[in-house]
Amino acid sequence: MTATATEGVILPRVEFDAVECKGCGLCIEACPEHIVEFADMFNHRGVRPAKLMEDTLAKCTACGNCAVVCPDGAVTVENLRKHLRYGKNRLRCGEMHYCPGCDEGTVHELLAEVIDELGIRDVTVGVASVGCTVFAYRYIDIDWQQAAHGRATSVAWGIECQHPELRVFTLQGDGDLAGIGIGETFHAAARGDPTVVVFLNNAIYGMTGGQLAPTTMMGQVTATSPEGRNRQVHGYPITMTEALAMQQGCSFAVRATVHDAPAIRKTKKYIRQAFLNQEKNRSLSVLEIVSSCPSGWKLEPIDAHKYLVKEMLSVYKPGVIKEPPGGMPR
Amino acid sequence: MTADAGVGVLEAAQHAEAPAEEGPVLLKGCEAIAEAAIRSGMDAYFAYPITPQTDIPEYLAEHMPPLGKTFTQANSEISAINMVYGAAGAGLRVMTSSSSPGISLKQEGISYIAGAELPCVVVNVMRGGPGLGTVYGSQEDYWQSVKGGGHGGYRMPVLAPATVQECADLTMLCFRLADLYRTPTLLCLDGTLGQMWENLQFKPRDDSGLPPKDWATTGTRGIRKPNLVNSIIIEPPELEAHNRSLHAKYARIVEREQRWESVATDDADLVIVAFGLAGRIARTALEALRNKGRKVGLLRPISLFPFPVEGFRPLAKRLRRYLVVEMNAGQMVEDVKHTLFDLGCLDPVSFYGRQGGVIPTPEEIADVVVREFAQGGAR
Repeated sequence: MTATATEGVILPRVEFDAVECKGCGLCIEACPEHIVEFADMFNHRGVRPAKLMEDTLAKCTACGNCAVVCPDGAVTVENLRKHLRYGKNRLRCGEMHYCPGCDEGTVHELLAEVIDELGIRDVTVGVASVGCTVFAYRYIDIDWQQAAHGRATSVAWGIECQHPELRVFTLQGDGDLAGIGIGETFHAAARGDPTVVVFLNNAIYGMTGGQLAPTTMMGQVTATSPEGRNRQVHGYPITMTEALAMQQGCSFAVRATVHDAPAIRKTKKYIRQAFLNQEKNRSLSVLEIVSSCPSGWKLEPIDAHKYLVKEMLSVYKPGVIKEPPGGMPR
Repeated sequence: MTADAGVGVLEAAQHAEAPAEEGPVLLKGCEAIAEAAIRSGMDAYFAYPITPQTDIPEYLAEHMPPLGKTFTQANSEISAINMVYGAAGAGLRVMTSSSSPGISLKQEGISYIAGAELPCVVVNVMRGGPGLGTVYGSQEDYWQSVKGGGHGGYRMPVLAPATVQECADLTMLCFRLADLYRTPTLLCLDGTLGQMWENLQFKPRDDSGLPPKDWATTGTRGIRKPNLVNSIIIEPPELEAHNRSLHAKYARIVEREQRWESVATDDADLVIVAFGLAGRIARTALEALRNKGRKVGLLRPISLFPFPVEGFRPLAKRLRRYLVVEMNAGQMVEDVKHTLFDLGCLDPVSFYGRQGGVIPTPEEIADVVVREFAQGGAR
């Protein structure tokens, strides 16, 4: 699987980890040269891992998209000519429990990269809230607290109230942040806590098996809205980030996605800006990441991203919702 | 008046009692708790208003910020206890307070704190229930306090003051026990004591022998492996091992931290058992009864968990009657019966209680005692 310079041309180094690969196929979809495919053999998970096609390394442009979209950090691309590396960050640890193609893994990769690149690993404390993110502490090599369902922002305030040097962020799903924890979330924005809130909105309760969430879209079928969400039974979805942005104590609010490589690169920039804003403005930064839940939605990972783009982004519009005073942090 | 009056503390729990730092001050129970918390080095306090404990947040709102300490009025009791979780996990000395319905709301958080083994102090200034009940003082939360009000079978030290002096002393002890055993602790008093004004003397803080908080999430600072504050242990054998270690800790607490007050129990034919304000009222009744020649004693549990079994042991050596007096429908009486049974003592145990915020008078208790004597044939 590994290849380097041949015949005087500096080829990229591309490595697909057949053991870590969960066979979601996102890298195959992301490759602009169409040179990634599933292997003929199965790995210990019972899936065909992705691999580079035979004798195609010369076609590889080392764009890194396959590595960027891999939620599990199973792909490494090194552009030896430009000295660029795409792949699992050194702060990423453990094998993630997420389903194949889950966007939450991608967000962990980005968080690890940003924390590492900003050099704040030693003063960062993450708060992993109940939901699929509850095991986040296993995957990024920093101090963590696990919080009760919905209470992540309250726990975060407890951590940072007498420790202004700490960089505290929460990782919360939509049920956690917009359902059971909506009061805590709103009041963190009202107080203006210096927390970075990373809000993973996949419109569903993932860990419990795909029930209706506060952010489930009208008409969306879930385990507890089998006929689709309708107003009479379930009410309307909540657009939390806009609501939080209206509070004075929230200085930065943005909505992003991680459904393809360009979106992921943009989201990484936003995460970086949120941490910079935390330091600069000492008030709440909210980063909503519209995410897919292939298992909960009962869709293949690639189809889940297509559904996300087609159905979700019109309800949850990506972009900067509230720019910090003094402009976007750099 | 009573030669053998004294506070019982197991030897293991004794530490040198330093003299009071300064002259007496006049404070109400809630304020004494708040001031004692500050003198215990409390870094952060989180709470939500509810009667009859609101004097605590009001006092701390005034006195914490000038010290550079955190006072946060949370959006709910649930939020407050989770702020406590975060702050305790970050290594701070931290407290929350509430009254009965608010304490019910905190129970999930207390369970998480017990599971994650975080030190903190919870104050319950009890009012009558169930439901919204009344704002008047009561002892109706005994079961909730000592049996683990939240889920998961945890225990926590519960201390019950009967005077404003004890409000201060036991608050400081709660902070010490919390750090010593990495556990939530509960100070449990009724609303009347919380509102009662008395002179008291603050004692110096005792931090001797406390372990370092090297498990706190204060950032790795480049010198150590990451720390994790957590209560999820998904594999049953691992959770069982964790729970065994928790319960071994509770066993150590039972062994070392029993506290009680005995008054005139040596020759008593009838021993009143009562905690907190009920114990204080019973003591007044006892004095009147003794003046009339009735051989009455009092055993006042100060630690409700651990229940002061050792206070009963010497009493169980000969036949007596017991009268449990509580400001509820009979909750601690179960632990008294259980304790005496375990000590091989089958002496009769009666109960007298007032409920819903009604406070028994000393005369009322004395009348019950006289009736008990008449029924039981005791002198």
